[in-house]
Amino acid sequence: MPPISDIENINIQYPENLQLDNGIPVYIIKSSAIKSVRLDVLFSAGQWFQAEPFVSTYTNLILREGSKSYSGKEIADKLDYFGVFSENIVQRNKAGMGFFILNKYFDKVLPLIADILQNPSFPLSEFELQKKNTHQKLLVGEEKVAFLAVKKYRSAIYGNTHPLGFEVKPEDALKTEIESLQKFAAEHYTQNNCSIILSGNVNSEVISSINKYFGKTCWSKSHKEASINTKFTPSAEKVHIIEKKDAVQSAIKIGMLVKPESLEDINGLKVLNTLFGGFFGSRLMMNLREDKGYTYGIGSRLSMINQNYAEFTISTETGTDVCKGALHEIYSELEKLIEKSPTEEELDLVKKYMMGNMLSMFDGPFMSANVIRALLESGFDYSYLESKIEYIKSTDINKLYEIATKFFNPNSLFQVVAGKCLG
Amino acid sequence: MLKFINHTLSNGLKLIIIPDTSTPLVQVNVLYKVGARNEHPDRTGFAHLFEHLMFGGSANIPDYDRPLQLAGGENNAFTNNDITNYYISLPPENLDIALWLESDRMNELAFTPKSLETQRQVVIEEFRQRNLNQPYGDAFMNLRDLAYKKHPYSWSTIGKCIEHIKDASMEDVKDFFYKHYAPNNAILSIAGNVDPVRVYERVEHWFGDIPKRNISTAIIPEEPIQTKPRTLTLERDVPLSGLYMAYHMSDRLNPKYYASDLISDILSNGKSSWFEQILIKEKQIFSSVDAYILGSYDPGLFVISGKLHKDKTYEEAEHAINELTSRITNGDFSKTELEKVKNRSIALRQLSLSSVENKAFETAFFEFLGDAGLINEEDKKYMNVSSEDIIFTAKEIFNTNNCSTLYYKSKK
Repeated sequence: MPPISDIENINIQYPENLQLDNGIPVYIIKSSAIKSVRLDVLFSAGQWFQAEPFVSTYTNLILREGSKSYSGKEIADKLDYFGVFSENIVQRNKAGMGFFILNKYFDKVLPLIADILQNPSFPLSEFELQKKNTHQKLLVGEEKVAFLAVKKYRSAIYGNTHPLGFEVKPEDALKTEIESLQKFAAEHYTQNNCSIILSGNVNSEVISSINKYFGKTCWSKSHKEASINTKFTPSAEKVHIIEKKDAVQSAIKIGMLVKPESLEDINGLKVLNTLFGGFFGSRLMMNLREDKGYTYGIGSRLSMINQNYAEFTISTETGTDVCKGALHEIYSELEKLIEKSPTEEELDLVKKYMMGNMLSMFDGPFMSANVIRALLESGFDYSYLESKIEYIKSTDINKLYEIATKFFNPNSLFQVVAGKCLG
Repeated sequence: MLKFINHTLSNGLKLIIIPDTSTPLVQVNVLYKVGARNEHPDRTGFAHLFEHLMFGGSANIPDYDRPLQLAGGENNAFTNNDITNYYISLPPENLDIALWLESDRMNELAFTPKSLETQRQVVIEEFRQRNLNQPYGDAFMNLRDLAYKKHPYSWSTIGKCIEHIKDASMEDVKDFFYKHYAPNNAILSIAGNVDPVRVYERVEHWFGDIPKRNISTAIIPEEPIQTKPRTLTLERDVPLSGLYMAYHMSDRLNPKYYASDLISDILSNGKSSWFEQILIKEKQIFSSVDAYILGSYDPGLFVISGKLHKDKTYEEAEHAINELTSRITNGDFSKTELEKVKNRSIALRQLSLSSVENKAFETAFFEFLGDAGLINEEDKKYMNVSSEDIIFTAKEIFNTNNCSTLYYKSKK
């Protein structure tokens, strides 16, 4: 075996920061190797801010259907003609749009992009169609075990009345009123809730165009500071089963909300999660896929939903005939985690894997832009990444065992199975 | 223009090196010229099952994943009807680890019974997850079977049925390996922050001694020209009825491929496309509808598929689609529309080639087609498509005798 050199350092690509004339923060990652720019415009307008289901997503989707100066058709024609690829972004906290634009057309499309985001016209006929198509998509979703499981799981951990946990039926998609969208846009798609990320070939013309179309004067009426509801009302029942009679596989979701108290806790949880179910060599994958062949894939995630709470979730789909066996193995892996510390050898592998993974986070300007987007979403800054790198390098099996016993109480976990649970 | 260096080793392995200093990583891509297309009709799903077994240990390395994870690397693989492609991303200092792993498994697999046993199960679960337990999950398998009568594109990569995977024996596995896995049937493409001279030297070191093999020369049956319309109706427990239409089209290297791609873009690429504007918004016949092409090595398919609103009939849906395809065959599209889809196609390629992963894969793929250098001619080929080319190609494709239609009817 050839010798392996360890990754000692991660070259974090920090953005250049600047403020537009009206105070909007802009994060810039420059690279002259490409001839295009990615523009992400983000607002505090994610699902967490919605008072009723669908509003955050519907508002986001209606933006490009018409603005003060352009019809939906004109917007579509123009963006397509100039080869712009756009992305609708709706996350828990941030929502907005992303655009890939060739440098030579940047000036031609920016006025239109600004108009979409600043002056949406909310055409009613488009909204009616949007509701109808969403309804039909949800009808199809109801036939998928993974869809059924995730819906029940979110309502279990956040509560059915919490914006992140609304448990909706397909017909609910038809109930939203356009006024809710107008109100939501007026309060959340505002200048004081806005951040901009520019990556790629960001030259001085690009920056001055951005300032011209997003940075001059005050383009939103409301300046309400967006606030979120952190009163979670998890379900009293820990175990939920959704029967689907013709299922040949069941979807399993197991997890909980975790409240880490320090960066040390967060970093520890991240390392522990990687070891447990966060990569191909994790305990869950090795046991349930590579040893037992119960599933095509299994994994766990630990996502900071803001600076204070993390969602820890195990997900898999297994044959209905081996579903009970799969549940048994998942819980026995959880028990193992709090019974004894990982071995030095196992932790060494996880550390090296994680360092490689951190390195790939800065693979080019667009990947580095994803890092900014993720930081804005969770509310952290670059000192969090720095602390994570230091933590990965320096942590040991005893620290991780402490974290495991502090947070991974199998009795606090919610469990959802959609499908049929046999074997 | 993508700059690269290529070279063929004495054992026939094709090597492509793409230096790129904008990344902290190196991408190692190994493409084997074997896919579901090379399978026997009674042993389908084999190329893909084999891809799984390639991770079950090789002659001198019992565990493939572990050393790579220790080196800070990531890997994955995919199989389609034409190729099996393996890729690794890792820090350039550890390039040797990737070359060591890939050369050892190109040389010889461990063929352990445990690996075969487990991966058979894993692949069966994959089959269930993707095709049996999803609404509309078996539509495409049925469409392929309808459109191809002789050519092995008549089955999906996952295979015709679970039984073929259950029945795979160790004999079959070994036989498949020696027929298809060989340096003279592979393309190694390396892109990233590396010195080409050193890469060349390390590749010679690790791969140079792997013997050439007699690879399968089995002739793949040609698909006869379809002479009348084909239809199939399936009734399923799905909320919305699905319509799937497959027309035969050219292979990936044929100049008509570019016109076909642009036709599919006029119909359905982007929010301004005809399908979006007319079928979804104006007429509200479909809740979703798409046109796309399979750019395959042998002649492929031009596919139109959509889900109908509950109050619409198949007659209305087909009529509305035919109206739009006739507009293309009649030349009823503007210069601007053609320019638009060309612009989009060029922008998309630029975006795709901004990642080192795609640079490595795309060059390997064009080498598989015949010449890695073709990657730099794509833009020109798209730009050169004329309105006449579009009309001519559309007339060939959109002929009812050339069409296989699957009615995927909702029982609800």
